[in-house]
Amino acid sequence: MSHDPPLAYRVHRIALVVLYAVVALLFGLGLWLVYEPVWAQILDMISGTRQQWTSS
Amino acid sequence: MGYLVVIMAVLVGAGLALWALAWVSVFLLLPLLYVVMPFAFAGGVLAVCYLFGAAVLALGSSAPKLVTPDDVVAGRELPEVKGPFTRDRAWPVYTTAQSRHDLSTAFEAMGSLLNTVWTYVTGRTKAVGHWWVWIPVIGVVFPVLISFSAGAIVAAVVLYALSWLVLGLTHVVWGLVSLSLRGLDSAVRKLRRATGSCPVCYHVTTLPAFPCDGCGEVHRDLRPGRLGGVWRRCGCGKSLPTTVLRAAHRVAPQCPRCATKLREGGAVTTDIRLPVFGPVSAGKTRLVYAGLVALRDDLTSAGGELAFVDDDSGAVFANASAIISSGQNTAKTEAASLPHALTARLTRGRRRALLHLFDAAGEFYADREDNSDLEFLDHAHGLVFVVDPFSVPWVRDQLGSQSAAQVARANPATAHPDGVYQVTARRLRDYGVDTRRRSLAMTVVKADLLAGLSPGDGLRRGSVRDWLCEAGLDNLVLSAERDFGEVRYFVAASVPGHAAGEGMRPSAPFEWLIGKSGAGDLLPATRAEEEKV
Repeated sequence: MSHDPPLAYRVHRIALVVLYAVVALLFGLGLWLVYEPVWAQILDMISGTRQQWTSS
Repeated sequence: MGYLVVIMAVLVGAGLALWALAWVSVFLLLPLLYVVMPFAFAGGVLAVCYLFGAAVLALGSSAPKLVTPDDVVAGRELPEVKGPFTRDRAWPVYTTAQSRHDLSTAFEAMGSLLNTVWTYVTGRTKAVGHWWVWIPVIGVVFPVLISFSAGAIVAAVVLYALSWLVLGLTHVVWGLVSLSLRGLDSAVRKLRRATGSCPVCYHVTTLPAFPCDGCGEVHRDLRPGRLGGVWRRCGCGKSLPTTVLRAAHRVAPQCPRCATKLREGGAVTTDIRLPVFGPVSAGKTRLVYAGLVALRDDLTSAGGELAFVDDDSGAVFANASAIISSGQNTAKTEAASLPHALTARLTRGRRRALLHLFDAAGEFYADREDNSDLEFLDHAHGLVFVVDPFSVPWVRDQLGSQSAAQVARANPATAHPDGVYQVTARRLRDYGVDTRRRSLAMTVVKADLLAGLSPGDGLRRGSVRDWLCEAGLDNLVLSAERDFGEVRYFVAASVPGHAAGEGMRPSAPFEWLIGKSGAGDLLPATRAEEEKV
C-alpha cells in the first residue's frame, strides 16, 4: 500500500499556495498604494529630524 | 498649615503626572500606534498567508490528515455507496475529501498562532507580578495585538473563502468532465447493447469489476466519480483509466459476483445470450454444433469471421467441427454439472458481438426443481426450443414397426416436448422473466432422418407450425405463442449434405435470434432477409 498521495493532490495544493501568494502580494501592493501619503509623511519626518540633528 | 502645603504639593504633582501622561499619550503613543498598528495588521495578514501555505503544503508542525484509500474503504470520508460492497480502495479526488482537511488545518493554524501570541503576552505580564504593569501592556501592547489579530482573522476568512471558491470551481469542472465521460461511456455501451455475461455463474452485468494491473485489487466501480474523473489512482499507486470502455482495453473485466474473468470483449461489445433447451436426447448439442459450423460458413462467405476468444470454447468448436463434418454421433452432454457458456466472437467489418450459447443437459429441463439453477434462461435475449420429431407419438404411430431401425438410429428423446416446454416456461414465469419481450425459435431437428418417410412429408420450411399442429403438438404451439413475444418455427438437419438450399440450415434459428438481439447487421444481407420470410 502506497501512501504517497497522487500528483493531483500536489497540483491542487501548489495552486492554493500560489493563490495565497498572489493574495499576499496584492494586499502588500494595495497597502503600499493606500498608505503612500502616510509613508511619505513618515519618511519626511525622519529626514527632517535627521537634518535638524546634523545641522545643530 | 503644613498639611495644606503637603496636599497642594501632592495635587500639583498628580496634576503634573497626569499632564505628562496625557502629553506622552497624545504626542508619543498615539503617533507610535498610528504607525505600528497598520504594520501589525499587515503582519497578521502576511503571517496567515504564510501559515495557510505552510499548512496546505504540510510544512508546519501540524500537517493535515491525509485521506488514504483505507479511509475510503472504511467509509470514513465519502458518502456510503448502495449495495453489498464498500467503495473501492483508491485515492479520492482532492476536492471531494482531502481539501476539507487541508483548509480546516490551515484555519486551525491561524487560531493556534493567535492563541500562542496572546497567551505569551498575558503570561509574561502576569509573571511580572505587579498590577500596574498591565497599564502599559493594555495601553500599548494590546492595541498592537488586536490589530495583528484582526489582520490574521480577516486574512484567514478571505483566504478560506477564496480557497473554497477556487476549489468549488475545480469541483464543478471535475463534475462536468466526470458526468460527460460517465454518460458517454454508458450511452456507447447501451447503443452497442454491451453487457458482461459470466460464463460460469451466468450473472449479467453492465458494470464489471476490474482488477488493478499493479496489485490485483478489485475495483468494482471504475466509472468516473469521487475516486477519479478521468483517471483513478489505486491504493497501490497505479493509475487506472476510468470508464468501462477504456478500462476494458487495458485490463480484463471480471464478473462482480464470482470474480471469473469475462470473455475478451465482454461488457464492451454487443452481448447475445441464447440458451438451447429441450428434452434429453432431443439433439440440442448437435444443433449447437451444426449451427455454429454453419454460422461460421455463412459469416466467412459474407467477409466476416467467427472466432473464439477462450481456449475452452475453441476446443469445443474444433471437436464440434470434426463431429459434424465426419457425421459422427454427438456425445451426451454431462448432466452432473451446469454448462459453461460456449462463446464465439462474431465479426463483420467494424461490427463485433459475443455470442454465448448455453447448452445444458436435458435432465435439467425435466423437472421444475432441477432447472432452478439455470440462471442463463433469465438473461437470454431469445431461446431455442428443440423438438425431436421422433419423440412425438403421432410420428412414431405413423412410422409403425417397419421403421424401428430408423427410429433407433434417431435415438429419440424420451420426454414429450410439451412437458419440457411447460416446465421451462413455468420456471421463467416464477423468476419474473417477461417472456412477452423474448423471442422463441422452435426448431424441429433430425429432419434429415425423417426425410423420405411419410410423417416428414409436410415438414419443410414455412410449414413447420402446421406440421407441429398436425402432429398433435398444437398445445405446445399455442402455449409458446401465448407466452413469448414472437415465435418462429424452423426445421434443421444437422448432418452434412442438407444445406441452406433445402431450408434446413441449422444456423437459421440462431441467425434469427441474433437479428432479434440487435446484431442483425453482422449477418449476410441475404440471410437476414431470408429470416424475415
